[in-house]
Amino acid sequence: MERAKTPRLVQAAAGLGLVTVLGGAKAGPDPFDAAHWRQVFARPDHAPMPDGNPTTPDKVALGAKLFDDPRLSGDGTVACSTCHQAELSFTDGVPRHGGLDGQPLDRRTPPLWNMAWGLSWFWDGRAASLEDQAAGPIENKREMAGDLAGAVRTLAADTETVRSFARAFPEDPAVTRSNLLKALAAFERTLVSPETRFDRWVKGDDEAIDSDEKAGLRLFVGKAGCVSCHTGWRFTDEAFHDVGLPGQDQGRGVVLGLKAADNAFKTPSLRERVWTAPYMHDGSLATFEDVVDHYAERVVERPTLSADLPRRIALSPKERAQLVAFLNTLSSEDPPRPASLPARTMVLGADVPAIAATTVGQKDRRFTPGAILLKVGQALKIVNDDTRTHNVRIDGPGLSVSSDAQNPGDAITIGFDQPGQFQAICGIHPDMRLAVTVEPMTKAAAQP
Amino acid sequence: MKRRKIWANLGTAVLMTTPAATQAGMLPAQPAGIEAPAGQGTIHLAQHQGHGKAVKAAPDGEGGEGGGEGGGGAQLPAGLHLARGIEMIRGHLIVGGELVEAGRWADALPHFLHPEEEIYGSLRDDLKAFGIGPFQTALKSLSQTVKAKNKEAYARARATVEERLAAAESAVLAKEENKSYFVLEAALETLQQAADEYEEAVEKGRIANVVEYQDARGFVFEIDRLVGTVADALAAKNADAAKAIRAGLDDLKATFPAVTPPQKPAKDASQFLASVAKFELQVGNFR
Ligand code: HEC
Ligand code: HEC
Repeated sequence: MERAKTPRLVQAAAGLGLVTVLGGAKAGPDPFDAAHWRQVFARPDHAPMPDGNPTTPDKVALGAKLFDDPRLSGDGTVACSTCHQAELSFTDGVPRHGGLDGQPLDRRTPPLWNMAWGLSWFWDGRAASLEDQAAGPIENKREMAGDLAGAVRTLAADTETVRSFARAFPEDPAVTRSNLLKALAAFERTLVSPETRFDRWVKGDDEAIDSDEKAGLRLFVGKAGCVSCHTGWRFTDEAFHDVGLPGQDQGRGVVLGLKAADNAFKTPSLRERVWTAPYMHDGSLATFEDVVDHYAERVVERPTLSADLPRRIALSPKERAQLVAFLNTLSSEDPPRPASLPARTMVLGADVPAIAATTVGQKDRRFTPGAILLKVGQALKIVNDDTRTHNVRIDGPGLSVSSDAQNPGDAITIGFDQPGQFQAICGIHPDMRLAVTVEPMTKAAAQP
Repeated sequence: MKRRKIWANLGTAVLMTTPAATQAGMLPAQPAGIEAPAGQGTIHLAQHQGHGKAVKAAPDGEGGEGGGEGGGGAQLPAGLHLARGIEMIRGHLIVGGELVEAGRWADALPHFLHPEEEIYGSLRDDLKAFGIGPFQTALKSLSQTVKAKNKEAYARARATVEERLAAAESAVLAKEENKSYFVLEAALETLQQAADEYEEAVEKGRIANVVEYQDARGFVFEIDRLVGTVADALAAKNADAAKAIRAGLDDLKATFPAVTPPQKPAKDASQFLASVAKFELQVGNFR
């Protein structure tokens, strides 16, 4: 990603006199509200698909074949499924896969469950769509060392493959780079993790999880603070956090060009993780027990640690075992197979009504209001009234903004001198979205 | 059912040769060549009654390995039952591992599936009783790596399972006072399972069932390793008996020259049983 310039940006401490509440340190015991958590963790009944690439059976079938096809690689020996093995929940069971140069890759191969719901891809979120992502490994010198143009030529010379492409893309029956990536992405969107015991609990079956597992759930949403990041039915906020693992990989910080996001990686989903050890971006933790021990006592103190990470949680051996027991309920009892879920086009944030406003807050990781109307020439002030560091970004059209590290209390001001539709996101919490509609100045306003 | 019967037979056969044994009325046709050395008065090992009863208690599916591996020995004390289960799982892993090393993934797979499908279920209560965390998914994950033919993932998943087994083993051993004797008891139980497997494997002077042959091989080699871990304690206690145990195991191992069965079996089923019985006779020396 290019380093965004920030010409129109004025950054200033807002002087709101915020009391910073760190790391979810709420006072008092938290009563467990089962009904609330059942809502938070409820599974969706549709899988999202983007406007431009509907999930159709023929396309999915083609994508599945391509996923297994070593012809996408430079030397014809490596397929996506070489690293993302179906038997191993679409990962490879090792800390870091050996690259073509014989050295381990920089990061662990992530499993591919529930990619359809992602907001960014790779551990550092550098791909903005699943379609974009697929080009990455194919052309990566250490992974598949292929080139897409070459792969397209090879595939186009095979009549069987040509026919499959034609069936999958009746509108545009051709073997092209774009269709190849679309088919791979469409296939990946069907890899929905199946229901587990925990989902039966969510649906109201109190007996579906036992007392230790329930105690683990209470810890997860309570004292252990896991739910601040591992939330929603997939157990991820899709945001980037430094959780204090030792290591040199700067992760999200490099992508954003933002020191405050150094050491931060995308919160992984916790679905079907029983089947995908080892854990973390570097595969450095072998078991759930190790992961829990990490959070309890091995977090490396440094300035970039996530504000959502509780500092020093006291967890007894019994409580740790209960947390692990709970984590196990998020996985199938047997090696999982993808569940079928109908697909539906979804557009993020489209349902928020736009309000005329020039000031937007960021409390609780949400732009409020979420959609605003401005007039050309007006300035937008975004105030960090949250407890976390944010990074406001707008990428086009005709405008490129990055707020740098916007600490709690900081406000930024962005001027708009062209009409248009813009979307602001937070580079650290990509689920934060703000739709900005800038309307042309009316004649009356233009001639004061 | 014939496998269980064999054990009733052997138990009785052993008893018959001891002075104390007077149940001549129960005598079945006896396996050849079992002798109790002089001075081996009381070899009345409790678990043998268990094998007899297991005939009745045997669950469905005896036809396959089903009831066979996990099912027998339901009357064993929990610790011994669990220890035997751990050893059988390890035995499967040993022979499965040999096949993986030889690149024979498909042949290896049954040996990775059996522990989870046929042994683990019968250990669940024991594990709870000993406060040992479940490791069923670790076993399943391991067989997935074999299905995936992924050597590196296999090595990792195997190490994880071994760790779990070692933890379970120490939890069991922690409760035993005479550890080396307990190890021998567990060894004997496992060798008896090996005899069951071997009996299934041999048919009309040849190895008809390769998987059962391999099971037996895995069990025997694992027991060889296990007994090796207490070799010093055994020698200190009774050097002669320890030597005899060693020789008995070497004799048993000679039944399995390679992971692929020999054209002509090195032993028939009753010879194998006899070797196990010799081992058994020595066990009493370490009580
Ligand atoms: C050599 C092993 C290897 C191959 C081959 C490979 N991947 Fe990956 N994949 C990885 C690694 C390692 C990562 C994480 C890299 C990172 O985050 O920097 C990854 C990440 C991904 C992600 C992002 C997942 C997430 O949670 O953000 C997707 C999707 C993906 N791969 C799909 C594919 C597809 C499609 C192919 C084939 C075109 C493929 N991979 C080929 C190793 C591989
Ligand atoms: C501050 C946000 C945050 C909190 C709080 C948090 N996690 Fe995480 N979790 C993450 C991130 C980010 C990663 C990936 C870190 C990396 O690889 O660098 C992760 C990784 C994991 C993984 C490994 C998943 C995989 O596939 O590699 C598990 C398991 C996990 N967390 C469980 C927990 C539990 C249990 C708790 C509570 C004790 C918890 N997390 C608290 C953000 C968080």
